[in-house]
Amino acid sequence: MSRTKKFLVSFALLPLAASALLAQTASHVLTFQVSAINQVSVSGTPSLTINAAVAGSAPTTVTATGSTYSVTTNQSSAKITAAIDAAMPTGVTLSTTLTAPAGGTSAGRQSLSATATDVVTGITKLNQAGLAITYQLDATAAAGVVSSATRTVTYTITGGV
Amino acid sequence: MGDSPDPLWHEICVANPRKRGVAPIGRFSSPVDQIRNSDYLRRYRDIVMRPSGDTTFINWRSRVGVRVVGFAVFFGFGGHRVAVAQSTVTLTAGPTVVINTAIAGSAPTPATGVSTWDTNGTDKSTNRYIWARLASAPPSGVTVKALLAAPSVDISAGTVTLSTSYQILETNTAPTASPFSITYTVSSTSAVAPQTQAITVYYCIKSISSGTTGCL
Repeated sequence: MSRTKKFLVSFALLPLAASALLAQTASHVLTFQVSAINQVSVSGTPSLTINAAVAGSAPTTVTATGSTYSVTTNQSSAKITAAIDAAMPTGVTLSTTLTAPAGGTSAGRQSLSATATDVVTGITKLNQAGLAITYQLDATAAAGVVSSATRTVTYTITGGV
Repeated sequence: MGDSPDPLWHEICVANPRKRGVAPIGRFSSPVDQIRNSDYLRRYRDIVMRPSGDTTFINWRSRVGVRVVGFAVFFGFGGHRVAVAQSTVTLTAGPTVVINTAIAGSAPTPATGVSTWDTNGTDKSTNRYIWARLASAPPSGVTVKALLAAPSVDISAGTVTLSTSYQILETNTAPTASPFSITYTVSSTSAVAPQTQAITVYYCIKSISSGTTGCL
């Protein structure tokens, strides 16, 4: 066999070599699932006291800043609602304003009641933390003196699509 | 003639000065480096070696020879073969990993799933590398990582982010007496919509010198 012939035979056998190479490989089928995720959390312990008025006007409104919320959703058009656990005394109004996350829309200041109300809408596939919450307390003169009380504000994120 | 290719053995062929042509010789169970320096092979002028699973041909010129044989692969030629044992990696079923929660304000919490791997015992050396890659790219925003637990003599590369290119997950791989864990960690950004996907992860066990040529 000449040197040239040997070279050609070698290449002719390469397919056989390739079949042997495959035996060294194994494989996994990894299945992964991403479920719908909607999470919201809040921080801060706001306290509001109405104790002044301009003569001739209703008691002076007070606000509390420093509270924040965080949100995560992997859906589109999610929204956050807010509600309190018990009605406010007559003549007293508790409101909340949430800064919207990127792409979302704040409903502005919303009075709170036991019925959930939208405070942020159009939240789409994001995670954002440290968004501001501002509480406001209003009272009419007719409300009189109201003893210190607490209310729990519940924020709920509802998934979109 | 008629021998079927044996994927567990390396092939060494030499130009035998006492015969015409190039022929496979001998069967060895030693690692490549030991064969390369063996007295047995010094009798031959020209040596061509092709480790099974490798397309890189290793050529040597013998001490007395002046001719270097070019490419040559000899499977199924009968006669003699010089062989080096080789390991194969065995896997149990792939896991299902579910991402279903998050800390508000943060991306979804990564989830993990566990499987096992081991190698057969035909190769007593510890010079193998375990490589892995994804058959296809994961969806945008999804990351798949793998961590191979290592037997005492092996060296795990730690948690490796998988891609469609082979990466080393473990070095110094020796035969294992029992299975060891593979931990997959899948993470996603908030931009990833709810979905279920299956993705194939290829594993290949080879010597570092031969790279991943021949792996799927």
